[in-house]
Amino acid sequence: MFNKILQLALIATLSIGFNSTFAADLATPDVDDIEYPDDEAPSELEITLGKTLFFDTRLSINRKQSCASCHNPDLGFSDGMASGIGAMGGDLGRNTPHIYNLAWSSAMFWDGRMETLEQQALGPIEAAGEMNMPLDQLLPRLKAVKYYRETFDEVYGADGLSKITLGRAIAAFERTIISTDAPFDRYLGGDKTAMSDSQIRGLELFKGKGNCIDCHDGANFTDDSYHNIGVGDDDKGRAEISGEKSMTGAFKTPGLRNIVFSAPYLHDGSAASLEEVIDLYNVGGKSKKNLDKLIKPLHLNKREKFDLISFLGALTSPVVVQRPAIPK
Amino acid sequence: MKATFTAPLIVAATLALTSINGYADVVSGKLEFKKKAPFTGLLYVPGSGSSTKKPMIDQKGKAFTTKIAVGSPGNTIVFKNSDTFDHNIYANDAKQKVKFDVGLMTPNNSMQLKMDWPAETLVRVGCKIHPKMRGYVANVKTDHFYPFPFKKKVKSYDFKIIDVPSDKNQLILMMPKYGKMTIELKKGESKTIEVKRKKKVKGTLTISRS
Repeated sequence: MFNKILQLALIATLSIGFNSTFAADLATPDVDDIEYPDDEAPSELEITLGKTLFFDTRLSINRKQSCASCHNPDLGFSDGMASGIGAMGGDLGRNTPHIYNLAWSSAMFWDGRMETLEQQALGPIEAAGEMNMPLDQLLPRLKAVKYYRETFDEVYGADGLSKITLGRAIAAFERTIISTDAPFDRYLGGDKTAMSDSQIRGLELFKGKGNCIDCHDGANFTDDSYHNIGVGDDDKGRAEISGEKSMTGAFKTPGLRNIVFSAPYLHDGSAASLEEVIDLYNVGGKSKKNLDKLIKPLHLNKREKFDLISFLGALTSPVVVQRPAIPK
Repeated sequence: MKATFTAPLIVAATLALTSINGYADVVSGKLEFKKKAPFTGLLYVPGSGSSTKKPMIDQKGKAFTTKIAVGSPGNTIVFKNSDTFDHNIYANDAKQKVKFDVGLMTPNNSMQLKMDWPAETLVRVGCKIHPKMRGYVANVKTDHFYPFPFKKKVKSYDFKIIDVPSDKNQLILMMPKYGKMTIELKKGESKTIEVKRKKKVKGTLTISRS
């Protein structure tokens, strides 16, 4: 009997330790953790410049698309479609990822082909299937605009308007798309009424039975790593970039802040709702080929799935962006 | 009686040896930043031997356990994985000509790597599986150094390096994204120097030698 009590006490102690370790891992993002290129936040002028560029269709070859066409603030900085559409009307093949809290990210795009926002910002502009705008043509197009000419000079001094400063300006704006005041953050901060009972149960499932935290961890609910979760399409994903066979079908773990806004989900946009995403995880992935070893059937019941989705709703803190006037 | 006679003799002998070897100086001071401190840093006396401490970096909770590991050319650095997840450690710094990749490190394993890359380098290491992980390895010819594992929201750091060889009057401050800063400092001197990055003043180094 005594041994039984001792065993139970030990299990309880271990459980508390286990949960508190994970709970510490989920946090509110701290701006002090952002790696700015110059170790300090950009000026308001640089942010405004980047924001103007982000919304300016001059950045696409036929002036039909801006960054915001796909990363639409009204659609969770995504586009609401299964896969994106380029300026020339072609299918981009992958779902447009949201860009919330990329200020803390160390891997960009679904396949992590870029490491910084500065690099990322230029990629879609140049990509033939996307905005299709060679930077050598874009720079003179922007230099012809008085606002850009003068503002780049003012912000970057002798460097003026260049490929590098163009990327820096857009990245400076993107680093302000920050969501840090969700009900979950207020709950963490001590307001125990900030989350509903269902959301609190969902949090426990997220950390426990749902095993979500193994990949969706940290302040932004992503390990910035790559996993094949058994979607079952023929996209090679990370393997195309790293050359490693083990990464076949693996994609970057998306951050979950404001995730309710950016349906549809998964790298191919094949899940129309969060319910469908959880259904995929619940069966341990549709395809077992090269499946990440962390993906296993979850055996969640209907109520548990509801609680989990409810918790994801507690990560919502809208980012309102006022569209800028585009210079003539 | 014998004991009281022997003790002063040992002290005298130690002092004499210290003097012969020239290990007598203490360098101390304060490093202060105007805004945010960088990730890490190292202050060291170049050309003063090689590190006698075994450099080691462990991985736990998807993070490196140390911000900076310091070794010398020819030393062996130990990489551990005490985590429950697979990891990897790599460096790829073309500018400093440092490139290595230890491959997959499964949980509860460790491996060793000879520090055969160029000296006087401070190189970022990462994990290809978890790109958020960040650490630094310094490869410096010295056994006299002070590593700074800077902390968030802390701008001011005291430091002290003891047993600095009397004949070495130069110190170097290395920090990621900052250029190397060389400080000439003789015994009895005190200096306050601006710490700059890309010509911008980021802080001050107040340093003295006794």
